[in-house]
Amino acid sequence: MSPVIVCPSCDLAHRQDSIRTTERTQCARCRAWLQHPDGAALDSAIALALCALILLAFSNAYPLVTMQANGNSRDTTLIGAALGFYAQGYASLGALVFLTTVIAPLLQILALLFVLIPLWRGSRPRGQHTLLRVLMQVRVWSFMEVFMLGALVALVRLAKFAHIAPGIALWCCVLLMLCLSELTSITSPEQLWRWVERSRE
Amino acid sequence: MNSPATGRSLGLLLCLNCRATLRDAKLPHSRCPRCESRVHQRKPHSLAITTVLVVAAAVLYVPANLLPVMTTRTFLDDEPDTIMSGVLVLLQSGSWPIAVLVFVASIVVPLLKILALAVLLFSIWRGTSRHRLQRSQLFRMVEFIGRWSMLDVYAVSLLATLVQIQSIASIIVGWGAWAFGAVVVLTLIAARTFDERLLWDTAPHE
Amino acid sequence: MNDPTIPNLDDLPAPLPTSSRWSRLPLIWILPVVVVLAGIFVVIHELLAQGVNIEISFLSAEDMEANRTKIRYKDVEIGEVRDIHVAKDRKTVIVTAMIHRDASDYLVDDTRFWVVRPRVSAAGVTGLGTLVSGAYISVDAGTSTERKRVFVGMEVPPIVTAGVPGREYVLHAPNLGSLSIGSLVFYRHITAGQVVGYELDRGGSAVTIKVFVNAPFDTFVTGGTRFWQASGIDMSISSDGVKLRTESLTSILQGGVDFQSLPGITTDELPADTPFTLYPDEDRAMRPDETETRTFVMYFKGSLRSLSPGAPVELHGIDVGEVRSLGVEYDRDAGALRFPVTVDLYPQRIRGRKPGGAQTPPVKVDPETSSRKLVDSLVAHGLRAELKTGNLLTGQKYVDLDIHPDAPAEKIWWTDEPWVFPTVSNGLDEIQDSVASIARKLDKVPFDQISYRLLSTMSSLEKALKSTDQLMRHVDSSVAPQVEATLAEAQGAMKNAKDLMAQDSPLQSDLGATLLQLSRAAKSLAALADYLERHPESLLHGKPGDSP
Repeated sequence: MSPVIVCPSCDLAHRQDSIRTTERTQCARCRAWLQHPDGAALDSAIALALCALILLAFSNAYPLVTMQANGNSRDTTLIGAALGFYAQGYASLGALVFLTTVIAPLLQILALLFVLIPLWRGSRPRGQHTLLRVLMQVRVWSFMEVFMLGALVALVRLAKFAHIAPGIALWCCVLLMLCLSELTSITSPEQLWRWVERSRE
Repeated sequence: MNSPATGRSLGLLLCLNCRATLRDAKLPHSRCPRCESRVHQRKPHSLAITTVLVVAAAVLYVPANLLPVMTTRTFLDDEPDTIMSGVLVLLQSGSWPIAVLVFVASIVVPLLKILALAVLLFSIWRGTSRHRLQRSQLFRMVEFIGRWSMLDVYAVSLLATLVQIQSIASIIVGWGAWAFGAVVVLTLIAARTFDERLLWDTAPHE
Repeated sequence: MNDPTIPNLDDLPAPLPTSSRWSRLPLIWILPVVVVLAGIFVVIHELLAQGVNIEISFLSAEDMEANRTKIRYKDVEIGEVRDIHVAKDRKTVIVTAMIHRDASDYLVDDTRFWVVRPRVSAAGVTGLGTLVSGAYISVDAGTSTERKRVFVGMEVPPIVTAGVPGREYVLHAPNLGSLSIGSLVFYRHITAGQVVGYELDRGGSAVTIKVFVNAPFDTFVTGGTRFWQASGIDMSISSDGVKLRTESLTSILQGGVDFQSLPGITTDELPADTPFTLYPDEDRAMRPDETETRTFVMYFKGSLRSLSPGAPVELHGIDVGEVRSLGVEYDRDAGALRFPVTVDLYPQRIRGRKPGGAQTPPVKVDPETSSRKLVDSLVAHGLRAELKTGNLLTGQKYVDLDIHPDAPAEKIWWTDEPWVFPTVSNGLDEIQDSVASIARKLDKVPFDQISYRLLSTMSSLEKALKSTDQLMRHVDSSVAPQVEATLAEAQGAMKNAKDLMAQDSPLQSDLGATLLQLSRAAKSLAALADYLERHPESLLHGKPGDSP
């Protein structure tokens, strides 16, 4: 490992005296995060990813919310929300919602699993680099927590004139959001490559 | 030490994808040996691309706030809702924390983001070296809270999908939502194309 | 790995350790925390605004729909039906409703719920608005302080909701008559309230009816107030004849209760839920109280047909009592059936009525003794009971008390209970008796023997007829020719006579001449009479022509 660490935010070079595994460190100049602790186990990352995958499946399979007004009942799923835009002629918005709430989390989880499971088994996966690159790109567009907040706002507004029953998927979404946050925080790029490099040794 | 040693001054490159420190290969299109992604000393054309995106976002910010994001159509009349009126509706219903959240996420954050990026771009263009730490922290904050702006887009998507009770009430998405979505996406991309390190590159001139 | 481009590692700054505990938390967690906090806020906010869930049971969920049917109090929406499901015992439907928090005070023990839907009744059409808006559950908030969450819904809307000024009274009646919930209560034929409920008394022997009298009519309900059934068409057939009385059209259709106070008796108005007796009709209701009654038994000879309990006992046409019951009893001593008529007499009516309407001063002597003395003396003077037909059309009978001076002396044995009041049979009964005695005598006629003898007489008669027949045949054969000859002779004789009478016979012509002369004589006699009538003086002076 290089004894020099360059800050990604201000390009300042730092010396890396020891591999600090328990603490996050900051850049001496711009206070950006420099190092992430090497704590999480590969197993727990896989477990979390599997958990997130199941939750994502549930989130899409069941209705998110059911609205009842004047005897009419309507419900929507995660994908349905994206299709709502599409149905009204805003395909680009629909695609944005679909990408950020379904595709991005799915790719994030799948890419992680495809990289981590071979690592865990001790084999070198094919297309590992591409997957990790995709993962880093896609992770930025996974807006599950923002979606939850948006859903909350929608529910508050709807509750005024309709009866709203939160569906199973809503609770799954909350858990998925927490899962993804934890997953993102324990699978920092640094950590991922640490795992990759360890498997090579 | 007058000028601190930076990656550039030491001839070191940082792969933004895998955070590997590389020796400067001095090639225009070099790839990281570890993760095979492209590495650059600085993000290419960062200033130009970011400026274009910020200007576009600023232009779209106006219709995003003036045009209705959605129209509630009942059999009596059509009631257009802009982002601001949506906040007021929430405020009237008594859930003020939610109203504040929406106000911050939908109105303050995009505006702050556009303004902050504009200020940062302008400061880089001017070559000022003052308040570098504050500017850097401002950028990181903007980058982090930028995604919150999507909140209203999601809210509208759910409302428009759920409230489709024929002949009684339906919610029709307005162009305001599109403009708003575009603002959010543009500012998100702008934050990613902006190279934070440019803020610190002015240091030697001080 | 030592890089030649790096001059000295020690010149480079070391990375800063995390400064505070809070910054150790990855930034990525801020947003989820915000989401969870916002979610908790929304849930708490909703829970606070949500109000109270209650359960109301109805017999059916007709017209109700979850999340659509509203709950209204005084037409203000205070909640909504959230769920409808069948109760575990499958007898009722349980409607779960959410009541707004600010209306939760209404949910007390005596709060009532009912479904408002279009209803057409004799009293009018209600709930027409629900045809368009759909049915809703209406609430009548109670006044109790005991909170409640589970209610039993009313199938029929209550007549009177809380807050309407007025009072509720309890009426006791042997039967409901034609009353129903919603039947009107009248005061001098003005609608003054409604029947709000009824229930069978324990044991099922009577009915308790609840009526609500609106203000200001409730001030007229006093101690002397009488309620009676003003049930539409009141047709009564009694010994007084046929009485037909009608109330308003509404009460004809629905039945009703009328009330009025007895004249003269004024007491303060009564609190709510005071019990009253519901009389079957106005007559009975307005009859003064009979505080004192004497029960007598009367044995009448005649049939008791058309005498019914309640028939009046009259003294010279004045109502002094009432027939209470009729019965049959077996008299062992006489070995015969007797038909006792139990009669209530109101001695007050006999004693109390004095000119001027003044009441008798309080009797110093024992009232029992005095009334017995009175009755004794009356009976001694010949006071007897008699069955009379009050109305020839209907044949209803009544008991008439009258003085029969000729009646055999009788006495009331006060020592033997029940007291037997002496009776006489009436005229009609006597006729009946004599007819019966005739019939009895007729019964004694030996019709059997008579008919036997008649039969033998008939046979001898037949024999006689036979011999007559033979006689006739004999006459036919032997006598007839003789008769024929005799007849021929007679014919000849007759012919002679005829000849004699002929016109031109000498006898005939002589007779004619004689008659002619006689007629002429008569004519001149008539002329003479005529002349004399005109000239009566000619008898003295003679005819003027031949003066003397």
